[in-house]
Amino acid sequence: MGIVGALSAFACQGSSPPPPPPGPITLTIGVPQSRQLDPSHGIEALEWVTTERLTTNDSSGRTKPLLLEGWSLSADGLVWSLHVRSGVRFQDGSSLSSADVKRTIDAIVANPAARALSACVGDIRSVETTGERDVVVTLSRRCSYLLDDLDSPVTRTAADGRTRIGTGPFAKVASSADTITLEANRNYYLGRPPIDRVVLRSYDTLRTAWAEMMRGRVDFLWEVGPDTAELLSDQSSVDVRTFLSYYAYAVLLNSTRPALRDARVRRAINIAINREALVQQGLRGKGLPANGLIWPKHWARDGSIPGFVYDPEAATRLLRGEASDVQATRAAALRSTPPLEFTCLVPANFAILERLALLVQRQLGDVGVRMHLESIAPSAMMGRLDRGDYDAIVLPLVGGPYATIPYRFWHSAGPSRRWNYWGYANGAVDAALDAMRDARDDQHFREAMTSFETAVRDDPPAVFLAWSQTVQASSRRFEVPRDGDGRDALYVLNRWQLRAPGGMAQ
Amino acid sequence: MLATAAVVPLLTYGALSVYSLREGTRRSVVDGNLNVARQVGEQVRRYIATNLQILEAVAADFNHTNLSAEQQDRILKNYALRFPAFRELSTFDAAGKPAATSRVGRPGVTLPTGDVPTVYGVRMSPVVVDGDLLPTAIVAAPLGHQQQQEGWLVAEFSIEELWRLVGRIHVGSGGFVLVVGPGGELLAHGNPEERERVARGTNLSGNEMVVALRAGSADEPVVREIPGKTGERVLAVGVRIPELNWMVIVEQPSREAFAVARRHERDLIAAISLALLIMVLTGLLWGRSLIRPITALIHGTEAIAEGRLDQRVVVESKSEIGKLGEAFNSMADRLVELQDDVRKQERHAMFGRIAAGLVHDLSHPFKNVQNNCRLMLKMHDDAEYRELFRRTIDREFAHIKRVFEDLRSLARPMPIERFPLDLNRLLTDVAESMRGLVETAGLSLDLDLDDQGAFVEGDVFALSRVTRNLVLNAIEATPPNGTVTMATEAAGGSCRLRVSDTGCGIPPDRIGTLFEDFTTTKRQGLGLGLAISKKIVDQLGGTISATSAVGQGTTFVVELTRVPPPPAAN
Repeated sequence: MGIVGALSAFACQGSSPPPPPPGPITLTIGVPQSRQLDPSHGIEALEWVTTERLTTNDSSGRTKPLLLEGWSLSADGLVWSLHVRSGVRFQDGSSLSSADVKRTIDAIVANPAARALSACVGDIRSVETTGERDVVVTLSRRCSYLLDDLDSPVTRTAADGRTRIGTGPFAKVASSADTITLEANRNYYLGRPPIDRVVLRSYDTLRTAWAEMMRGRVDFLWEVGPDTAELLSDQSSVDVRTFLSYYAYAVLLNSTRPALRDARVRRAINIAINREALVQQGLRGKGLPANGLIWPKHWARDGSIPGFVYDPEAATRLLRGEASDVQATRAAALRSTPPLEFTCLVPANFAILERLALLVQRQLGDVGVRMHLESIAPSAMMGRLDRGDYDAIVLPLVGGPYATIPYRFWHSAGPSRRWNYWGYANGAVDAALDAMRDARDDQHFREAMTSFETAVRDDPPAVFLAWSQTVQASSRRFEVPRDGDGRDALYVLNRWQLRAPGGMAQ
Repeated sequence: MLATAAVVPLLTYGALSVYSLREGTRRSVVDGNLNVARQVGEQVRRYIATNLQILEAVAADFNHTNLSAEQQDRILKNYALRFPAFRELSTFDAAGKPAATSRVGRPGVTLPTGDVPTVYGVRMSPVVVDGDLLPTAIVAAPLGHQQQQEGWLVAEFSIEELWRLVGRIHVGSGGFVLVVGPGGELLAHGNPEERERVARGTNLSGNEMVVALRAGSADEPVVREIPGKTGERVLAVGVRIPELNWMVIVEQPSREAFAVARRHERDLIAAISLALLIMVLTGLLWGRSLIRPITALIHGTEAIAEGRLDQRVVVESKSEIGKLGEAFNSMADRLVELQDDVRKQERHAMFGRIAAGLVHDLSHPFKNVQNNCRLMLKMHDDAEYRELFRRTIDREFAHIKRVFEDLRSLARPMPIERFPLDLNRLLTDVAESMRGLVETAGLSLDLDLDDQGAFVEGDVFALSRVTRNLVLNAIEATPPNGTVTMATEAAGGSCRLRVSDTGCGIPPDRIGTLFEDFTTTKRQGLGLGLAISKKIVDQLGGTISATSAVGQGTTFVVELTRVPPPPAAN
């Protein structure tokens, strides 16, 4: 399930929602389930607003303190001294201490899945509290990804012995199949949120969610598809906000398959794709052509690195001259047939993925590649990936904001394959990712990331098509802080305010 | 009248202009909005028709081609990518079994069944808003020939372009276009704020416009002013798209639709009002300049009529009115001159008459005095004569004195004392005193007194003087052998004293001026008797009048308030 968590939050549930609970100020968040891919995640995916983590990331992906007030690293890079923020309280009023942080880190270390996924957790030798607010983590080797790997909610068991409580601005108070109710955390250390209650509610379709919004029963649509963003944007009662998401639509190529084993083939496929046209035709312009695997706004990314330039003729030449070796057994007999043929899995009933797949199929067809499309139920998708039973698959793939994400996806070494379901292995890529892990400072990190992008371009594991744009719609009843622009508005949910009739926030 | 004559036509013209402007502009606005509705209808029709024709063309590509399912599949996918309006294209065999699809996986569409209308040869389901908020219809084009239908090409037809088309059209700032399906379902709304009604599946079957459009003929537009959501009046025009049986309605707030008309109307009213004001002011100024000299002439005329001959008019104009003013002033100047002349003549005449009267009234007593003085020289030793002389002298001087008193009485009122007196007695005394004169004149004097007495309140001397004046006039006006009658009559609250004669009478044209100063019917004398008599009667609160017939005689009547007789008289 690891990849699912990285892909997006998805679930498919549905029944008529109950009326919103009474309360002075209630914000109802509508989650259209038709937008979700992973059936194991639904509105629960938004429960993260109830908890907080040790660190967070700014709009450039740089790690910033959250429950940690700060940290320091020993000269050899092996000892991390973490300083817990003072004044932080859990939702039951108890104070956050270094013991809570230690307990959280210990839980991560003890979790095999977390150890398998992370780059650094396996290198943790000890976790010790050295004071009420100080925790020292000692590594067996340098690892710059440590804070990303420790990105887990800091929670505590409530007095009832069952409920997990966090330090977030809202606390979960009730839940049903399609509704989760959160209430403002009066003990929140940054001040009690102006909104008293948040209701997370799932809807079968965007239409029903939007209609509910028009009726004033939904205040925020967590995600609106690019097809309908245009139609919503001119509503005077709705603020439509668009931001570059952390996800890129990509066709993952199984490099273990003979047809796709040759890096030149995968390069040819990459330059056969007109990404601008894909964005326009497949995403209605709501996207950014993807030229690499790193989130384009990441602080360490070198934007000057050239991406794949659309060149169908070069792709054709590359495929005819070099792919013939790959298909040597068939080439002689099937001169008139396309030199390359593979099947791409397409999650069923996702119009955008289907449209992108069709466009990719057509563009590849223009260079003589026959890409068959196979619809696959999301529930069956993980099994096929686990077994490696696929040539290619089109998916939204997370690319940010953590710098550790490329490591998890594309590093081939280690006790587990992490998110590297496609069996991708490239020594230069591994070396670059290791260099990023071992980086002593920002400069080293940047250089390593550049090396990674260069290596990946030489041996692309996928066809990154476009970075998606997330569209969210919020009722003008509420005013979202401007510093929430450019990312999910729920990051600043604790500072949403009810807008006064005159337009000013109360 | 002049102002009315000028203003009424302008007002009439203004009213007609406003009405004409209002109606003309209204017609223009309605026609404009209808034109928008028709154009939108045509664009919608063309949009649907074009896509359905594309579908038919795609279907035609499949006829008798014996393509494999995989080939069909690829072709359908290419078409789906090429024509984004078709979100899915799938073929079905004659039995309804899926054959090929543009989808990855199984077809998502099914063949529309039931009472589905055929549009341009393609079966088209009602438009619904799908889960992704997009308006969608399922359309199916037959494969094969009519004689041998091989199956169907079914498409999921996203008509979201219809929303864009409708959303792009704004009529003014508050006017929008609605597209309504055959069942009254709202398919598109140009107002973004109303678009949620589309998503909610709002049905407008009961809408006044929809009802009218469905009831009318296909090419008959509908124009209404209907209440909007906020109660504001809305100008709504609608047309039908006969091929689709859809309706296009353009709604615009009447306030905005007719804003230009109202502005023009206001401007026109303002212009007319201004013209009217200018006309009235001009008329007033002009009228005043015209009337002012006329008014001055009227006032001048009235002043002249009142005797103020010094009144002149100022008319500074060279028009006829100016000349009239000059003529008026000349006339007034001439009147002054004439008045002066008349006064001179009157003074001269009066002086002559007074002089003649004085000569007449005084010459006889002076003559008598002179004659008696001469006789006295001769008969100074005659005692009887001396006695006669004394009486004569006394009488003549008394006469002279009365003449002077008459003149003085004209200058100032004589003192009157009021006591009850009996007119019968007064007339008897006067008759006794004047009987000599009467007989000398060869006349007879009759007394006709009221038996019951005739008591009035008055001055016995003043009334005696009045009576004597009247009797003297009667004597002088009556030829010998005539009769002078003195009578009293008490009746009701008044007593009348009447003196009549059988003389020559007074011409009717002289009757009215008998009691004026220095007026006399006699050839000689001052003519003050009747004037003094009238003053006395007026002072006693009575009246004096005269009736006369030329050649028959004259009767003077003095009427005074009757009073009861004093106890002594009883």
